[in-house]
Amino acid sequence: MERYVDGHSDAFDALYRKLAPTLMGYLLRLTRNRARAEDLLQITFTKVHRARASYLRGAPVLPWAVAIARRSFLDERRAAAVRNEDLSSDGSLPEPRPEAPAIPIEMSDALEMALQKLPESYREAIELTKITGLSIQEAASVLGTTETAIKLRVHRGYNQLRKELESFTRAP
Amino acid sequence: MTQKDPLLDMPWPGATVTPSQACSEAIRGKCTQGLCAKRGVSALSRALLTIGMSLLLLGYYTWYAVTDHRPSGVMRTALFGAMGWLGAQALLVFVTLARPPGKRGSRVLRLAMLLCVPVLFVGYLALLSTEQVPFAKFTHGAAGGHALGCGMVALLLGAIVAGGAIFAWRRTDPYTPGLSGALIGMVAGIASASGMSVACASGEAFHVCLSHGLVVFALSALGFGLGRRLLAP
Repeated sequence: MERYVDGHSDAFDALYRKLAPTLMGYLLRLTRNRARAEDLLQITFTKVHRARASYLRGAPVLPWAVAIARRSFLDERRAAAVRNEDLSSDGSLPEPRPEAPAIPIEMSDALEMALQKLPESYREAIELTKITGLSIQEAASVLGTTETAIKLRVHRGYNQLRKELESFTRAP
Repeated sequence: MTQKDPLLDMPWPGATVTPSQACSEAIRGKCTQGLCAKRGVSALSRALLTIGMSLLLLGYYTWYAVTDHRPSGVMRTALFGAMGWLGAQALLVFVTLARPPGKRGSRVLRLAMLLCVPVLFVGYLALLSTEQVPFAKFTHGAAGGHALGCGMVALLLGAIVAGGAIFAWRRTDPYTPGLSGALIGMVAGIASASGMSVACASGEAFHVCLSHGLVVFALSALGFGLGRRLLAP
């Protein structure tokens, strides 16, 4: 990041290779839509580019970028909430998306469904620590809360996940 | 019989997803076009700038008090107090802002400072007061007008310092921009209110606590709003 701030374009490539897949994975989990995730990835990198002069040297880069991505997502979601829904060309409302299969076939599907059932605060804490790979302290910074709160959310989320997945593992 | 924890061997979803080629090229084009060295100001310089603006404001209030021929004993007491609070502001800025985001220490500690320091400051102003009139008398007539005038001037000058400091720290905190903004607003509010105690001739308790002291709370709230917009990248 510091070499990128100093104007080395090859440093940007290295930074992009390091950050983009993780950020894309994180944004895809937030949006559940590839096109929206890619739009948000562009917005995130544009913000990183604009903010590079004010990047405080020594700050950890991945949580910094994840926090920017999360804020971009929240801004976009807030804007979408107040935006009127567009009608399709024939004047009807857009078709609803097909729902996820009601009965999970594999364990990974069951986990995905169980994660979606968790309250947002628990899900975010588990995703940042377990999937994105941030430390408890970094996740607390990104979510603007304390480390204790993150530990509590992860613990409670795990308990709920266990309950959800027990029924799947017991099923014949 | 113990049941196996289903989370132990969980097939957690992958953390990384490769963006499309078109998306990567668009980002690369945007972020490397005309790329040049853009060295930002260090956190230490921003912190010094913030304290410098507070010092400048205190200097202005002192100059005003001297040219307005305030009694030197009263002014000296208030000035010593304001210098002490300037030290407290420096401590606040270095503890809560001068380190990189993510390494700024406990959010609870910063929140506690935001809530406790203004209360302590109003307590200090109450100790500084030399007289007390009934509240009804304070709100009416010349006293009320004087209180409103003092409050507005302190608010305006403090807002200039808060705005300048937030501009100096802009786009530096994606984690808690509102909290950082509120802390900057609080520091500017303390600078303005303690400076106003040097320049203002009134030693009345309601006047100093409400007209000067409330500026700290107002600027903390203003800083919170501005910070959320300007401090996040």
